[in-house]
Amino acid sequence: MTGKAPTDRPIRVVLTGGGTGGHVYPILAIHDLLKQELPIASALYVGVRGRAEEQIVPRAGIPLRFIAAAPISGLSPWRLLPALGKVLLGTLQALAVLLRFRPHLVLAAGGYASAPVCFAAFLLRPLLRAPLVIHEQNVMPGLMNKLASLFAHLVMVSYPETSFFLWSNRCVHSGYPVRSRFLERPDRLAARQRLGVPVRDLVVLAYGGSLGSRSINRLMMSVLPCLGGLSRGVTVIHSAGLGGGEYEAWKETVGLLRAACPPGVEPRQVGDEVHVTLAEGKVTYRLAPYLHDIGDSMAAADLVICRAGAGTLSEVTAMGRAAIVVPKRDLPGDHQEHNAIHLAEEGGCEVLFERRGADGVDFVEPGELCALLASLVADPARIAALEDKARAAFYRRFAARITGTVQAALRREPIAFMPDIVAPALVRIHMQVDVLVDFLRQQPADSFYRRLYAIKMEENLASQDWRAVNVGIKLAGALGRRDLAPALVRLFATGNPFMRRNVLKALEHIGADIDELEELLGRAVADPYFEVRAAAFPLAALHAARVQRDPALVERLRRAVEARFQHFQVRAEGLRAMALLLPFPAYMRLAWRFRYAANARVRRAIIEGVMAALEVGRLGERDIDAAERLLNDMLITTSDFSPRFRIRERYVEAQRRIAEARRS
Amino acid sequence: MVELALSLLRLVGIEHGYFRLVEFITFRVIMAAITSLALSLALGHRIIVWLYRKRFRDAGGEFSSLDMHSKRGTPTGGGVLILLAVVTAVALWGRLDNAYLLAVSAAFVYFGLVGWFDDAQKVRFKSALFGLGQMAKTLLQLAFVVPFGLWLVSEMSPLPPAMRSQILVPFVKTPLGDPGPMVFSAFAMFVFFSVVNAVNITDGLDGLVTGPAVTTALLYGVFAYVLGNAVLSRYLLFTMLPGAGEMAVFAAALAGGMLGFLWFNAYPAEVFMGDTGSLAIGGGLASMALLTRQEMLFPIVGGIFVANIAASLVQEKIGMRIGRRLVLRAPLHHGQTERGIAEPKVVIRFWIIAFLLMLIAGLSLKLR
Repeated sequence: MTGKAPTDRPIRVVLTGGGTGGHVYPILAIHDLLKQELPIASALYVGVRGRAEEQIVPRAGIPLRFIAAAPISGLSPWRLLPALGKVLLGTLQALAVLLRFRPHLVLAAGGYASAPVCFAAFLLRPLLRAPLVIHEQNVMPGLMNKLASLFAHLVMVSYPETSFFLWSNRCVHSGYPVRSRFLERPDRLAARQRLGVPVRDLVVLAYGGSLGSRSINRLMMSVLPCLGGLSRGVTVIHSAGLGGGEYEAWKETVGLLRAACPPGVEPRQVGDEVHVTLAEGKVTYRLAPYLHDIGDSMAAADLVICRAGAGTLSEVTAMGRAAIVVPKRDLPGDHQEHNAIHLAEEGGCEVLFERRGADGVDFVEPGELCALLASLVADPARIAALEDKARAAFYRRFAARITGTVQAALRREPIAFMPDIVAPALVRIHMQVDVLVDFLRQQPADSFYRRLYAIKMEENLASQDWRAVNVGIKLAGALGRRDLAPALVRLFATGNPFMRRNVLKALEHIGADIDELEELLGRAVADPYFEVRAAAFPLAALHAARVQRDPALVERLRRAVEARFQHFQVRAEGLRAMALLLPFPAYMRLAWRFRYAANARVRRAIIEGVMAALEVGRLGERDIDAAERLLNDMLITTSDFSPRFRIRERYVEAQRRIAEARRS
Repeated sequence: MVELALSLLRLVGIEHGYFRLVEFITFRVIMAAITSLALSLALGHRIIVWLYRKRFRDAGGEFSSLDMHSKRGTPTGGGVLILLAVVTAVALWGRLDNAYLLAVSAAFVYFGLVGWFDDAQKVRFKSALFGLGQMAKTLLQLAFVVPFGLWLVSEMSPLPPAMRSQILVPFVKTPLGDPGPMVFSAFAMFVFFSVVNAVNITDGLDGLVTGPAVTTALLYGVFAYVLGNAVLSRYLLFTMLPGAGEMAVFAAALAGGMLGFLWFNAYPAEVFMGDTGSLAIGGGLASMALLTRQEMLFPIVGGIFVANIAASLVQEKIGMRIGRRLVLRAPLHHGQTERGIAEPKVVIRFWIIAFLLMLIAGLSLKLR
């Protein structure tokens, strides 16, 4: 089988990828797109038995073959070896399948189910010459996809940030291929008539992906009581999902539904669904194990309650429906939470964050959903606005992008890959807590990020691990939580040195008045750990007016700065702060002693202290003379410097001008 | 290789008086140094451009202080320059049938390749923090260190059998003891692994690692020469290690290559050596230390490396356990910049310390 890649002769395509619907549907969607442009003679889907593709692919009319595969990320060494064995077996099976079918193109969705086929396609490259094209749906690719990307001809990513995480540099931003059903302008009326749903009701669709979401399922069951209190009739269409592992989605949810029904009300079986009417007919609840055509239910809905996975959000925004998104927490990089916030900030959805219960199970406060539903029911314009913004947020050019890219790959034409990009914000935030702290401090008061990290902060502060509590302290400072100031002061007494330092810094960020401030500062300045003593001073300076009224404390602070053996950081912070706490002549006497200090930071602090005092207007005529004398006498030479790179400056300037020239 | 070429010429009948120069180790040592220096100067700019175009660029350590921010985009992986220069010089001027030389060169090249792989991963991930996973990096290093340790005490080792597992301490004539091949082998592996990582950690400021590395290489080169020379070793009361003198060729080539790299790497750097360079240098120094049986001298002559890894370990293992910093910053050079001393000054100050340490270590040649 030799080389020339035809696009005028009929081609054979192998599709692979599975495990969850989130992998299967996009590949089927891409296949549909390609069928319109390319002469696809036949297609073959290769998947894993017992997973979502077994349910979904036959319905699409594509032949399905099974191979062995296993996930390998996060496995203990014991489990790793049999898993690798399975992958090897799957690769051999895939080799056989590919040799028999001889495809011209291999399309993979990523996920462990597609890995064996990817490896096999790579191995057979000299023989088959079929380009391997991977499509990555999520912001954060799994380990298998990162690895497989190296073997692929190219990787199409749904989000630009994904190219940062993939090991291959051959990436094209294609967007997410939703099925054509979701691109049609939805006709709410017609859909409701088709489904037999009351036209006047508020229709809420709740689903957690093909496998279902325990969190959403339980949430819906727990808000049943409050649904009757809404000012409109409500119909809920709830897809429990196929479940997975130990979670039997259908069984548990039906059980919870029965339990939630008041005495005398019995759910009735309708086909494979369970229906029940509550609140004297105001609330109609339809619970289904799995909705094959979620598009219809979504078209009929006013509100959609769903997860924040790439596929789900793409489908919802493509169709343009108002969503209440419940991101799944603790995924790598918190990517669902970031997906959700990203959309919410554009006004395209509402977000409810999960909390972690004492038993380790994630849940959403039912009260939050009830309140949200009530407010949305009362404000139909809000729902319409959400729909519009959601529709605007969807990347509609995916069809042209995908078909164009695949055609270029088949014709062996050069492809414009994405250039390197800087680490996306969510990576930098997660690498260092201090970056996250800076990020949060800049967020406006009603930011979604503040809500999200408030939850994480509470959980951290309640943890047994001091490292988690430490992060919680930093977050408390970043979020400016005045109500937590007393708790922070208590943590100062019990915490280790890092925690004590961070408490002081957090209190400084919060800025509010603290009850036992003087006592706290007194203990801080006498602390055995130098960073704690150093952190006491900016806090004292912040509350200068109050501290000045306690001469004993001021004297203790001054003694600490003056002490013969003192860490340079403490002395520097002290010299900066004391300019605002001492009467200026006293400060001059203190600073004078350190005007020739060996450490440049100490001398810089003196100058900064004098400038701070000037700004606040503490300097009288004679004080200014004294300050000038000090500055003139001080040792200014130092090796502490900051480089300027002229060529870099010119470069940045030139880029800026080019960007301007483009715009005009 | 030059020797081979000259002997070929001799066979054909071409002969000159000064062909005999090549048989002198000192001549080959100096020529190796000159060759690697000249080669790295000649190739430097081209390699820098090649790395830049291949997108081997420093993504900037997210932890570092503010000035570091301006280092983004500097080509990294410049260790290839050192690798090329040293390997060429050694191939030209070294006796390639010498087991010592081969072992040291193998260590140098192997760790250079591991470092290259790590740098390649880092630039793929476009961030300095994701590279080879910790586990993968350790495994790859151990894949050389373990066989090396075993080889060192085995029958195939070029060291005289009596010397193979003795504990030798500087400034002391008699060996401290002989714990047996197995124990010593484990000790040697530990030393090797620690040295390589110590050098790796020290690569944090422009030109910082070059100073101590050059002084260490030169010192071990001198030791190699002395130990391989019957007259000198007897005079200084060392047991002779026949053939060890050839390692001086490697040491000289390494010093020359690093100085040539320094031409471009000095502050502000136009190229970083990356893990390619620091691991390779670590491998070369560690193997030289073990093969001249002066590994216990390393805490002196390589004191900067040892201090850095000790500080990092203490800060991480103990400091994070009890919840406070124990050293202002680890590695130590960041502590200096934190005090407000400019980066180039810190680098030169560390070179001064390295020079001093080399002198002290040199004392151990005579003072026993």
